[in-house]
Amino acid sequence: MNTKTKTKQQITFMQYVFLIHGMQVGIGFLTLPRELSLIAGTDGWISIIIGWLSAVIASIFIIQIMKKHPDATLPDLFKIYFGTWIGKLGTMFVVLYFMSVSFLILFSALTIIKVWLLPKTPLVILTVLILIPTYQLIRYGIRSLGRYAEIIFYISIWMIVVLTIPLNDSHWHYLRPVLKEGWYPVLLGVRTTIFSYLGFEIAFWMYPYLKSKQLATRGIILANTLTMTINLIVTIVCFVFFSQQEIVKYNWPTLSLLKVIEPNFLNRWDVIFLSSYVLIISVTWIISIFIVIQNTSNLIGNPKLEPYLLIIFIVLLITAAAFIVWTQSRLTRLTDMLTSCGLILSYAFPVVLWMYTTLFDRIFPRRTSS
Amino acid sequence: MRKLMCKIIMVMVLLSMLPGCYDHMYLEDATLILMVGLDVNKDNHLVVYSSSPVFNKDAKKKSDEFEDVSPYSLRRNRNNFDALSSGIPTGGKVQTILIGKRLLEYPGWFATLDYLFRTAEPTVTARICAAEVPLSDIFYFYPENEPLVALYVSKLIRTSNRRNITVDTTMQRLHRQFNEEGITPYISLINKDKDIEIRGTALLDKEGRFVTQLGLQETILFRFLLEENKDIATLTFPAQELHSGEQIPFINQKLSIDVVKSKTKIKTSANNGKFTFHIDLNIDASVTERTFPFQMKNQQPKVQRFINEQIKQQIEEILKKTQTHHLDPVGFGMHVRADHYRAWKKIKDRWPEAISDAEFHVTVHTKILGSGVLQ
Repeated sequence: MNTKTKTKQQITFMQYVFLIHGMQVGIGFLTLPRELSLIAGTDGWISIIIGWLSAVIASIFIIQIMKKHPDATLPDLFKIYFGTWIGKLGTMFVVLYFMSVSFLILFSALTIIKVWLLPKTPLVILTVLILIPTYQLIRYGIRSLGRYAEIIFYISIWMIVVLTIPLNDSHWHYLRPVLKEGWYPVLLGVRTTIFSYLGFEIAFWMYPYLKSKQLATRGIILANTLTMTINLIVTIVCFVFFSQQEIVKYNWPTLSLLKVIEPNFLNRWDVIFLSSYVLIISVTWIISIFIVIQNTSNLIGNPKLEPYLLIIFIVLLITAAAFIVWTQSRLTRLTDMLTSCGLILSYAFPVVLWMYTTLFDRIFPRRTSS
Repeated sequence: MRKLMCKIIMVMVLLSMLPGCYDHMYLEDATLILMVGLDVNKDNHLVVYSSSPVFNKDAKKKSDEFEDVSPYSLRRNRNNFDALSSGIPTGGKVQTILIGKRLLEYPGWFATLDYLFRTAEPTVTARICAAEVPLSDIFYFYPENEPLVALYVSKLIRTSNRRNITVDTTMQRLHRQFNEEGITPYISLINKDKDIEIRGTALLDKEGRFVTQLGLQETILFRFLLEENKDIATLTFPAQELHSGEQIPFINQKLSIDVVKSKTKIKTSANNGKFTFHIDLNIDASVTERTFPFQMKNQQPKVQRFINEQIKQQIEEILKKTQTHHLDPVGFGMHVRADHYRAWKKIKDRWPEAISDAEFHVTVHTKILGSGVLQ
């Protein structure tokens, strides 16, 4: 990566926070209450807090690794510590992972839109419509992404307020007794919540752009905490609104929750909510596509090719929309697969890499400065 | 310049795609279903009714009613409506869903509503209501001085709700009541004699069969137990106890109160699988009607004691009624689960039946805030 683009493309602390937070809040938030309820019952909200703790620990490890080489992204680190060829192999895996993530997020979001908003519109048209602005955003680099993530956060704060309206009709004694079946189901539920925090691993790519690097740890904790707060609010509202046997029957409990809100002047809140929600999910796929492009150009070693790579990838996505039928079961299978990969990349990998790099720097102290 | 051209072309391409919302629909083409009815006819066939307004100056009738005697399901039924009506039916505006009492004799009828929950388009805030008469009497009823019957019924239920004389069971709430193990469902109940009128609450068992009903005043007290009472709740008691003078014909001795505020506390205790519920009801009320001479000022404690006793008796009657029918519309099961989870786990498979062993202790505390404009 050359230093010239680096100075031009920097992101502020808030942009860094919202990029990470934006990557974390995706479609998981729509299904989380059901998945948690299935495993941990009404005590699932405790799992969210434990999941937050593990996400924060993993995040701190990532920042500790990145601190050693403030200007390098993950592919650069691979090169430094593993040599060119193993490094390229590692980068290829990362590219594959984020490619699948962008496929998954984009098509899950579009499937939901199709079910709730536009049941008869072909998927291709939706994909094209959505990918044109995506192209424009990514084209202008990390800074425009940062601004986008920040503004999207501010203009969607109202959605959390709307989500608490159904509390009028809530039954708080659904939550009692706390720890109905002891700690075991709660700990089982942590695995599900860990998935809802996936996304902080983009700190591997965002850190080099951050202007004030001493705030990196604070920022990533803040991003995780924001995500936890939102997940916690949504889950608790769903848990006290739906009965536990009922919540497992909804595919997207968060959206079903919104159907209840019906002021005199408006019949379907969920339509407005979901249309705005597309903006929030868009941050996730935009960042994934951005990382795919970055890593691929790093792999090839020529940053000038980025716009062409972007166009190729977008055409690939549109073709996928046209020729593959994205059924719900197919998406679920992809989700399950990516969850395992994501868990390794975001939780296990940082710890291992940190140990490796520390050891490496002890043995070859001179190379640290490179 | 080239950049500008590029942008213009991009905008044009995007705009040209916007009409790609394939499922646009013009209001003129839509048939907005306002009320749906499900019933069983004499030949034991499911009948589906629907009522929708007609937006046409020249139409004599203001509403369209359809009756489908051989619906395969509610979803298929919509296809049959397509053949009958001149518009495309949409379920997003349904206000009321009426269930005929004959259908309520069959267990599991709730499954016929699956379509309304599974598709995203229909609302879940439609009120569900049982009807004591065959639904054709209601759907083919054209009141002269009232708006469309669909609007009339929906308004009737909404206003009765504000007066607490019927329950506020929407589709969503009914879904919860059927799925929650610690409660049995309850829905509004209407009847048509000369006019359509609210008859209180229909109590259903876990399979959805109609079991028994609560009258108007019983519903008000029932809603105290649910802690769901809204604006105004008026209770009237025969008050021979307070004034033992001679009965005046037509008027009788009556005392009415408006309940301003009420608070219900339900405490549970479990003892060897037997549950005791302590229900503590605090009521702030003002007297609105007294048809007999009485010194209110000096004898307020006496009036309060009288009201306490009356409410207590009536609530105990409701509880007894639900107990003998093995029903738990108040949701005592949920209280047991919250307070005595271990005992609950043992008993939950036979919950609505197990309530018949339970014991209830009702205490009522009334505070009279005033007696209106008169002494």
